[in-house]
Amino acid sequence: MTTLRIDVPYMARVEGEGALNIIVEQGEIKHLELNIFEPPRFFEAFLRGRHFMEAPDITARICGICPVAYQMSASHAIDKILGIQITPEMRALRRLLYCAEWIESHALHIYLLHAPDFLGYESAISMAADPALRPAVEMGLRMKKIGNALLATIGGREVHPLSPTVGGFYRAPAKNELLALKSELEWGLEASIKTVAWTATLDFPDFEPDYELVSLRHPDEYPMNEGRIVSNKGLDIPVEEFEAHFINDHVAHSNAVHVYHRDHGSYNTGPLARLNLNLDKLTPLAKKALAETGHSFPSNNPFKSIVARAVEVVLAYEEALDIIEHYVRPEPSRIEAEPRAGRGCHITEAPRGMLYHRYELDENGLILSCRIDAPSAQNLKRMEDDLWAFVPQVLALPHDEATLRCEQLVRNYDPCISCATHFIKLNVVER
Amino acid sequence: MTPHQASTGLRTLILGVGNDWASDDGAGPAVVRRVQKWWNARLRDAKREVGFQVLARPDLSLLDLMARYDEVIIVDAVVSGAAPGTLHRQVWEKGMLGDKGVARASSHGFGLRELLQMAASLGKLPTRVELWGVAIASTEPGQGLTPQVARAVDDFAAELLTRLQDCEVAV
Repeated sequence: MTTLRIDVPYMARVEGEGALNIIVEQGEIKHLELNIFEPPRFFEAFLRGRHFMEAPDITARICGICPVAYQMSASHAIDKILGIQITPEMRALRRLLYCAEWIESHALHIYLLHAPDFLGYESAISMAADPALRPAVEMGLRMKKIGNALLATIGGREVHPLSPTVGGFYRAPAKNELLALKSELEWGLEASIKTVAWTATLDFPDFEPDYELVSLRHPDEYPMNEGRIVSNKGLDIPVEEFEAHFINDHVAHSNAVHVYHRDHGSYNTGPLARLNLNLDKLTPLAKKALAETGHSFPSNNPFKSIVARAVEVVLAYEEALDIIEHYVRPEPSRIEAEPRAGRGCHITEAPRGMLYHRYELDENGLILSCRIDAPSAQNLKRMEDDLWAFVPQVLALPHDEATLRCEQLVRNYDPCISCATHFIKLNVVER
Repeated sequence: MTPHQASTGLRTLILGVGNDWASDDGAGPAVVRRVQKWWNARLRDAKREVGFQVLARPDLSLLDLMARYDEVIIVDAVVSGAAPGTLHRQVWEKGMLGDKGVARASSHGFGLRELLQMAASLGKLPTRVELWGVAIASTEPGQGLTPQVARAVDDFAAELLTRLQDCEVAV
C-alpha cells in the first residue's frame, strides 16, 4: 500500500482530547499532525495576582492523575524563592508522596491504557472480559488502589491531595497510619515484580529512533523531586537553565504548546528517558526485575516504555516500604516563611516526565508571572517526529492495524493532553 | 459511606452520582442524602443491609464497593428531553447504554457506562443494577438545584424509600 489515510478523530486511552491525522500519498507522508483540540485552560493566567500559597493547589487541578507532580514542582520552586530549607523528614515524606503517585499513575497506564494495544483488545474493559487476562487487570487495579490509598493517607484524599504545600505539609501522617499500609505495599511490590516480567513478554515493534532522552539525575537516588537536567546527548545543566535550552512554541494545529531543545529539536522525557539515564540508581529489586526481563537497556524503543514504567513501579513500592520503615513524623510538618519578591523555578519528575514550574513573586507574595511546561507538551513534538519515522513501517499493514499501531506509538508516551493544554495564550482571529 | 448492617437479607447499595458544584448535576447526591436520612430513622425495622455513597463522578473504587452488594441503585442526573424533574427508571443490562465511548475510555473519561461494563467484565457487578435518572435543567457552575429539580427531590427520595422497603423485589 502506498496510499494511506489515518484519521483518528478522538484518540482513545489517552488523558484528554486529541486527534491524529496522517495522509500518505504514493508512499510519501503529505500531512501528519497530532491535533490537540482540548480547549486551552489558562492556568498560568489564573495564577497571576494569587498568593503563592495557592499555587500548589491551583496547579494541582491541571491534572487528576498527577496532581502531586504539580504540587511538588510548585512547592519546591516557591520554597526556593522564600529561602525555605525543608527538613530531611519532610523531604522523605515528599518522596513517599511521589512514590504513591507513580504507583497509581503507572499501574493505570500499564494495565488499563497501554496493555490492550499489545494484546489486541479495544480496551481494558474487553481485556478484562477475557478470563485469561482478567487476573492481570484485577492485579493492576489493586496495585493502583494501593497507590491511591498511600496518597490518601499522606494527602487526605486520593485525588488533589490537601496536605502538601509550600514548606512541607499542613499535616504529616503518624507512623502507624503509614505502617497500616505495609502489608498491602508488600503485596504490591510482589505484584509489580510480576508486572515487569509480564510486560517483558509483550511483542515490541522494531523501532529505535535516535532520541535525545532528557530527565533529571541526582547523585544519590533515582530522580523524583530534584536533580540536574541531563540527556544522552551530553546535556548536564541545573534546572535554572531550563528556559535557556528548551523553547516553548505554539503551533497552529495544537492547543498545547510544543517544547523542543534549542540544540537538538524534539526530545523524549518520561519513564524511558529516566530509566535509560538512571539505570545505576535503581533500587535492588527494580534492578533485578529489569535484568531478568532479558531486554537490554538503555533502549530507545518507545514501545518498551511499558517495561520502564513497570520497573519504576517496583522502585516506587520498594522505596515506599523503605521510607515508611524509617519514617519519622516531621515536627513541625511545615516551615513558614515571610513573603518576599523573587523568582524561582523547579523541575520534578511527574509520572510522564519532567514538569517545569517557574514563578515570579512580588514583595507581598503575589504571583506576577509563571510558566509551566508539562511533560506531555515536551513530548508532543517528539510524538509527531516518531510518527514521521514510524509510518513507513506500517504502510503495508491493513488500514485498521496501521491506525492502531500509530495510536499505540502515541500511547507509548502516556500523553496527558489535559496537562498539556493548561497554557496561557489564545489567538483569536477576527475576520 | 455509612453501611447499616441488618441481621440478614438483601444487601443494597444506593449510589448518588453528581457534582454538587454544577447545579442540577447534584440531583443524584441530593436524593441519596435525603433517603439516607429517612432510612437511618427507620433502621430498627430494616431487614436488609443498605449502604449509601455519593460521588462527584464514578471512579474505579466503586468496582470493589459494588461487589459487596446484591443490588445497586444508581441515581444520576440525565438530559433526556423530558421536563426537568422527571424521573426515569431502568434496570441496567449489559450493552444497554451502548458501546459508544467505551473503547475510548481513559481515566479522565471513565464514566458510569465504562464503570458498569468494567464491573461486568470483572464479574463484580451486583445481580441487579437499577438506574434512576433525574431529568435536569442546568449544569451551570455553582451550588443549588433549579426549582423544578429541587421540588422533585423529596418525591424521588420517597419513591426510593418505598423501593427499599419493598423486600419482595426479585434479584
